[in-house]
Amino acid sequence: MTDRSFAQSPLAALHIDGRVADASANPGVRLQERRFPDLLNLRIAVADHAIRQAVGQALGGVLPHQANTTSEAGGVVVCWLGPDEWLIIAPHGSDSLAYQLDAAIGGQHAALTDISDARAVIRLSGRHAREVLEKGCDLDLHAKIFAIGDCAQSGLAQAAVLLRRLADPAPDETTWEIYVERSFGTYLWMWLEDAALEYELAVEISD
Amino acid sequence: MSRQRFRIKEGGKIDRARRVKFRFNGWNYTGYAGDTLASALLANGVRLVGRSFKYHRPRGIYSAGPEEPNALVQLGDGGQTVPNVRATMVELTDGLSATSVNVWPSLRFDLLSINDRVSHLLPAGFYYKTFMSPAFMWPTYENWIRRSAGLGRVPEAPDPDRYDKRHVHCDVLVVGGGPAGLMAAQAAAQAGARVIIADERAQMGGQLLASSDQIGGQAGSDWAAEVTSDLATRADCEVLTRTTAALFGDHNFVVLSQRVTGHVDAPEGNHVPRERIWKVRARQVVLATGATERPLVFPDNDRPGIMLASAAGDYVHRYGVRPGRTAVVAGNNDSIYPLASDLRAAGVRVVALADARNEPSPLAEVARADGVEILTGHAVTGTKGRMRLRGVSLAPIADDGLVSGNSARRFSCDLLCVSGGFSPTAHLLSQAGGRLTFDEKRGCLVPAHIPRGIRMAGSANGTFELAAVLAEGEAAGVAAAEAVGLTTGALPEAVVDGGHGPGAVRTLWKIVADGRKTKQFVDLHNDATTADIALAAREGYRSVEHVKRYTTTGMGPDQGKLGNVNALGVLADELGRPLNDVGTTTFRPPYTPVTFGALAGRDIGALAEPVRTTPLHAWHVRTGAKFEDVGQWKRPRYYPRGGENMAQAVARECRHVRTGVGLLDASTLGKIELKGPDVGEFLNRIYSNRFDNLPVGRCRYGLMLGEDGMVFDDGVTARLAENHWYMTTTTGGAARVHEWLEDWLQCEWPDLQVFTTSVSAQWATVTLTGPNARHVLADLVEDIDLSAEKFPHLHVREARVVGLPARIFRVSFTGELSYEINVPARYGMALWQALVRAGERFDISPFGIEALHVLRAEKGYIVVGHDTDATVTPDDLGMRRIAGDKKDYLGRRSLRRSDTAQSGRRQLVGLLPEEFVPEGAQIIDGKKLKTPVPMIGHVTSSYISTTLERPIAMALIEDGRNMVGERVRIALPFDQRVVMAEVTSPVFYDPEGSRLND
Repeated sequence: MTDRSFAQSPLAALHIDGRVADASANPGVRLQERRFPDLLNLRIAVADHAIRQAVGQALGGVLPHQANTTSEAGGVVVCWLGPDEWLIIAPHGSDSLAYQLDAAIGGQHAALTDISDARAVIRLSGRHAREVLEKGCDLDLHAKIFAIGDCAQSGLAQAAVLLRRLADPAPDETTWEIYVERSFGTYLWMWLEDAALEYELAVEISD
Repeated sequence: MSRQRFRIKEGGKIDRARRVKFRFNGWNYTGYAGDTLASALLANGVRLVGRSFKYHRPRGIYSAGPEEPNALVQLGDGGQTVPNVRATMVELTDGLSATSVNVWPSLRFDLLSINDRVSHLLPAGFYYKTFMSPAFMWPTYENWIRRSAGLGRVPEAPDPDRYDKRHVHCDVLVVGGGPAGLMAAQAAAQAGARVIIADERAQMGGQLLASSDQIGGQAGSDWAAEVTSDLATRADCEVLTRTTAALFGDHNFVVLSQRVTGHVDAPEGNHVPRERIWKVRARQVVLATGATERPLVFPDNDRPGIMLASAAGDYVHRYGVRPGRTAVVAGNNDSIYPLASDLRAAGVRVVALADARNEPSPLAEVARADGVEILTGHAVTGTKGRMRLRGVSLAPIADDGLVSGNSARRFSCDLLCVSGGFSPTAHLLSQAGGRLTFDEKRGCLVPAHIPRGIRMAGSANGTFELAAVLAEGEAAGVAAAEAVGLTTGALPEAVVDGGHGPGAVRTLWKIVADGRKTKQFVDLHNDATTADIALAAREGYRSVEHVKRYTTTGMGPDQGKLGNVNALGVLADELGRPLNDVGTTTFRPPYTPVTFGALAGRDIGALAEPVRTTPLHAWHVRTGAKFEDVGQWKRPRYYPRGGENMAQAVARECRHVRTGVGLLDASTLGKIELKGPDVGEFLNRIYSNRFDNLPVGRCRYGLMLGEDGMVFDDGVTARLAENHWYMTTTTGGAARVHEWLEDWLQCEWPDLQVFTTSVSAQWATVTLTGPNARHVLADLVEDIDLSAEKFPHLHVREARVVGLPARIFRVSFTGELSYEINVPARYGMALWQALVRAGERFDISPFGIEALHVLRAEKGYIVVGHDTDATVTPDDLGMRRIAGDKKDYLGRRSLRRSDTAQSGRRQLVGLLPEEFVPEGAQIIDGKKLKTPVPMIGHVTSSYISTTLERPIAMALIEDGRNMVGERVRIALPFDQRVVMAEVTSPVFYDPEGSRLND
């Protein structure tokens, strides 16, 4: 019974798919809910190199150790959140990943916690995507500073978020994923829609 | 419709093809696109534009920029109206409507101008002296003062326009788009720096737009346009016109205020904001903010028709407007000579030029050749004309300002252009912590201390000659780029023609005229005169900051743009001290007023505050729940059925829980996972009660104290496995508690092997409670035995409910048999709907937090932050049992302080009041309500109990536990009466707890 038909995404109440009709012909900003990614919060002690390595291998790469960077392997993205904390983002249904990581940890001191339901994930892209974020985020989001593959925890409007920059879809466009606590999802979506109005907005059907 | 009689046939940066209609004080006029309201009024021959602040003297347009002290207008109407806008900064748009402020009943006939006639009754400090006593008269005084104070009208309707904000970072921020700023921006941009250049005017160019100076063989304005368009095409360069740097904060944080729409060439689109605040964090800042021309101080120096010389040049060059027909030019520096020629070329008859300096200027020849009579060593000693200037007296003047003999010559004119030298515009530098010093030769305050990361360039730095200005701008841009690690080559050299600057200046702070009592205004905006400053000096004021406050010089929205330096000079003369000894006042932000709309941005209406919702929110909305704001959360307060009011709905919901079964959305609870071998020890320290001995599968109520021993949060923590724990916190404490835990783990006890992870949002939490709760759940749950023996109170089980993975806690906040069922948030709605369906045959009802409060109060359960207020210890709550002495924990030592350990503190008790009393009501000692009333406690919670069919309350009362059985008085001061109540145990219902253990 735990299939998607019973599951509601954090922004389900907004009926986002119904808003697609508003799409502009040449939108400067596109918004989309990324539904049901698997999210795992991982904590390993700073000095625990052995577990770190084992977990890194299980993820098919290494755990990023540089602040505000991500690593990616086989469709799984790992975001650095702190010296002893990471967020693992995997496609929906990556159930075996948690088992593999548990096995890598092997009963030693670490914390792997499923937080797949704890975040609303909003994907923002387009020519003016960065400007929309700059309305509510005081980080330097310039391409020279916030590179593709970087992430950062900060405030956006009045919510705490994890920002992640994805590959540019076109030379003059940027793409971002915003991870926000589920309860703030509706607020932040409405804020983003409102912020994007002056650049013409298209709401895309969720994947 | 008038004919723009003062418009010059050709020239100016206006678009003569686009005529623009506007209204001023109810009259229709026409101007051109590119005009300001001020230039269009002058073109139409309108001289009288406002009344002064205090004396309501007739005033005219005095400047052409943000320093304008007189032409303050109320712009637009309805929700969009803006008060106190400088007409010199308003770009003319079709249909624009403006009125003068501070006039009553009309501009020409102003009743309060009586203040000018009785001004000897209104000296500096008048308000301080007159309205001090008697104290009881103050409300009357206040009304009177309020009626005559203030400028403009506040809009009476909501502003329909959008406003927005943007955070940006750059390598180099250049403030000011004149020659120095453009050079700096160009140099920095060429080095590859991320550059922002901002100028408050509609066009970049600054003074180049208002002169006939040439750069590189082309007009200065053309050069500026060329540089600007080059900058605008660069990827990492932002060119912001109509953008004022309002505030300079710490670490080169600069707030810009941009006027995005509301002008002729505004961008199209419904959602483009009217104004946008730019919050700029710049690694380097170049302040090329230019200089402000100083007025001359002389008797009656405020008549309509008197204007800054540079402003007159501005109106001629930039707007193609003749600011008068017949002019006298007076000043103390070289800048007046080219102006005299420019005025003549524009068709103005220049009858005399008074240069305060005794030495003839090398520039005099051109003006003399043009037939202008030049009077050296002369100054203005008086003016004539009330509603507009009619004549000027010029006389030789001695160094102390004394007019020599009776030698004044009178000239008829309608325009007097004055130049008292130039003051670097140092407001932002001052805000940034920079300091100024008086430079005798240049006759102005120049930057002396410039904080790191800031560079001054051009006339803002006291450099006035155009060639030097350009060089300094370039040098500043290069240095700023190098400071951020970039290298740059030299820009092509610009050959300059003109722009020689003011030369040497003869400072003359005031004119000592004949015996007549005439006002010499130092600060036109605040109506402060030389006499006011002299009075302040006579009364013993020595500090320039005190004189500023006493005389109001340099205060308010104007921030001393025109008057500041003259006031310092006058004060220095009065005190007989050098100007540098007197010091300077601090300029405060904003540089010019910023609208409230811009400051609020989009944080208004629905977006003013985040609204947090649970996974079940849509169901609550559909069911018609009434919501209550709990912090940022929307929580159902009650669910009315049929025509129920709140009291009826809450009573019914309570009955469902006590006699049947109820359902509560408890998803807002804070939830934290703790993992590691040391969690037991960690919780022993964090909670006042013991946790390390909690068996797996059990949960326990815990009390958290701050280091001060006061109750900080509470909740139930469960042990899911040997090294895996799950903590719940109050809704409001969720973030605070998690930070608290991390703080202790990261900073104080890094040796403890504990990891915490917040999972508040991961789980939807539904509380199923009431005698029938087990029957409802039994139909839905798999894998576990729900009997009281197998799954007793304060136990936790993992199970599947309607096939969903769930954690079920047997904890109760209602006093009834309860199951707190947690499922991953995405399934919250599915769980809730399944429970509603399964509960139908038991007449299940959702209940809101109002009913929850009644139910928990009946049981004497506290809500932290409701029954406690950061001054309440566990013992005050009667919980000494779980805050003992056997182990150490945060806050324990504080409980031994004499104050916290003493007897007779305010203690939590129950109250049985004779009628419902409001929460917060004071419990008083004695019968009388006359103040001071001894207060011995207050009501913390108060409800109508459905179960007990009477009002109940909880209260903190001094030595309350020893008063059980006694009667106390609860004061209702607004009703002027008291309500009697009996003190009881706070547990009103089922004290044995048999129901929740069922």
